[in-house]
Amino acid sequence: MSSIVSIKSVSKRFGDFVAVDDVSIEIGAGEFFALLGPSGCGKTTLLRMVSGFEIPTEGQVLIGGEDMTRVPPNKRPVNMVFQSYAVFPHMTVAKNVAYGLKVDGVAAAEIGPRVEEALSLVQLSQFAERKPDQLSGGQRQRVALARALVKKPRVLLLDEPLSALDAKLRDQMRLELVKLQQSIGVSFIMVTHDQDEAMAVADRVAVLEGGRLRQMATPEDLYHNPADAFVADFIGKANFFDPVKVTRGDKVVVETAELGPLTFPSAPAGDLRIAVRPEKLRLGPDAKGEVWVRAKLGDVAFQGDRSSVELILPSGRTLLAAVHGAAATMVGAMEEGADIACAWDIADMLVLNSD
Amino acid sequence: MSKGPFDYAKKTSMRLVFFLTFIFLYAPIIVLIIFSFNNSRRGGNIVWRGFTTDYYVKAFENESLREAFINSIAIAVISTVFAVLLGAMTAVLLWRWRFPFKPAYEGLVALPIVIPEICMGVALAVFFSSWGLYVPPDTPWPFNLSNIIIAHITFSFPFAAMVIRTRLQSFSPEMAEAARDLGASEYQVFKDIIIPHMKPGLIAGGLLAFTLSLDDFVITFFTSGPNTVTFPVKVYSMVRFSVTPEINAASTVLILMTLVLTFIAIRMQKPTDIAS
Repeated sequence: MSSIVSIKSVSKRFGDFVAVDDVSIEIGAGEFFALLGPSGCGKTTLLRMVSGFEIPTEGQVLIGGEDMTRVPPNKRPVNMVFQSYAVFPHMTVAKNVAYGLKVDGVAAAEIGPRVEEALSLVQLSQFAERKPDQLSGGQRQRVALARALVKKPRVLLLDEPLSALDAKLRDQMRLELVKLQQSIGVSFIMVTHDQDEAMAVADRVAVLEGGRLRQMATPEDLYHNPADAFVADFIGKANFFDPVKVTRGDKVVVETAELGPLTFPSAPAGDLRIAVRPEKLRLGPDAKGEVWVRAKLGDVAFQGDRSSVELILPSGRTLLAAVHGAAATMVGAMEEGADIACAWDIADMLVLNSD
Repeated sequence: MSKGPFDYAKKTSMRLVFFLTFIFLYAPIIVLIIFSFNNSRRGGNIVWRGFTTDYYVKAFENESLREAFINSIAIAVISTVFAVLLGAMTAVLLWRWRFPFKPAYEGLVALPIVIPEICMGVALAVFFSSWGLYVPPDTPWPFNLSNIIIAHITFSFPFAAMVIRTRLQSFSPEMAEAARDLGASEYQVFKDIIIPHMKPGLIAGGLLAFTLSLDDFVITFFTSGPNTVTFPVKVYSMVRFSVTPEINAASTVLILMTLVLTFIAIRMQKPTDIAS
């Protein structure tokens, strides 16, 4: 995989504040890449260093193998879709899309067909002569997309592209973004704080926190093999247990207040947390597993294909379980507060560094 | 029956207030326009003596009044152009850049708005004479008006700057970044994105400067000479002898002109621009 964008040991400081701390990322040609993290994690700053609006304090940004660290944004082969879309209000849709070609000095005869092509790509052909204030939020976003793509960028940058849309449109646009990316084969780098969104659209996801890269992996890997407790907590749901005692030997014995001593084949260095995903929990009178706890049934949220179940341990803390099929039917028939057994296997547990 | 939000407008006392406000605002202007058609003789334009349009003809044929009128228009047009240019430049400077003593600079720019006009007038008159900037009487038109034009630019450009600055405040920096991202240079961003955004402010600022200049009396009085009389100064000197319908007629023309200009300015700012 040849990389189209190389972020090499990049740091960005604003005064004493470290926005991005020694991050290195390689993004492949034709890849849909997501920068994911809570607000203030440095993901937008990182994107702005690729687009040229910020210059790294340290490190290099290479685009297509060329050093672009200090190249201004108007001279970079990348284009961006802004969070507010930033569609020019005084220009028609067609003029918005043509603007990037016009300032590049593209011949007028070439601009027309390329604008048409870009508008049909985002299904906006019939809106070419409209002004932006006559468009809906979703349509304005398509204008922003067409305006960026008409320049045939090596990489398309998207800053929280779906956050301003309502829930239903958001799901629809997610799918369309993926289809669009696959059909034109341009690399997409998307910034988002929404882990569902990142998992749904991206080939690979970089999880950032406090300016540092926590993990970079495929969505499946992030979910099943999180690098640390932060990633496990941020991606999907997990039941965490804090150890009271850790004994490291040939194997690692982790003792928690709720579960007693559990033996794991290995564990990362440093402070530990252990966790289990809700769907790994088995419920019911004949639930069996290496870990077994008795609990009382809390709230049950029916979600169609599955149910989210809250379990209250004798200590008072709650566990979250996700069940489907027969288990969901069984739980649905039970009274709140009823006794219920819960079990899972040690192999399904995550042993994570919690630094 | 419960009271609606606008029921207070149905009260007689309220209606009376509305009516009186309207009367106080517009009665003098309406009377002025009506009496421009009064067929009065010498002895004041107070009693209605029948309809005539003679005084429009008379006002038009009054060469010194016509000259003053044309002077006023020329001064207003020229000073508006410069006031908007200077105002726009000041507004962009204050909006875009940070520099030492910026609040002090901002305050100094706004100062002419609050300084009493009489002081500005005296100061400008003293300034022109002490710097030897008097205009020789045989200077060709409209250069003979340059002192008045300079004075008008001085007091009107801060108003234009304020209006344009306010407009710039609503500019989203992402617009400029989007244009940069699409390949525009800093200059192209300014020309293609920022100036169109400023347009309603430029028009409003221009209109303000134009009307300020057109009806200014105090500062103009101090900076005009015997050969550079403006319309308000001329009207003042005519009123000192007697109020004839001629003055009313000329004033009516001026009111009409400002109304038409305002209308054009509003039309030029399309509803979409105002909304955004």
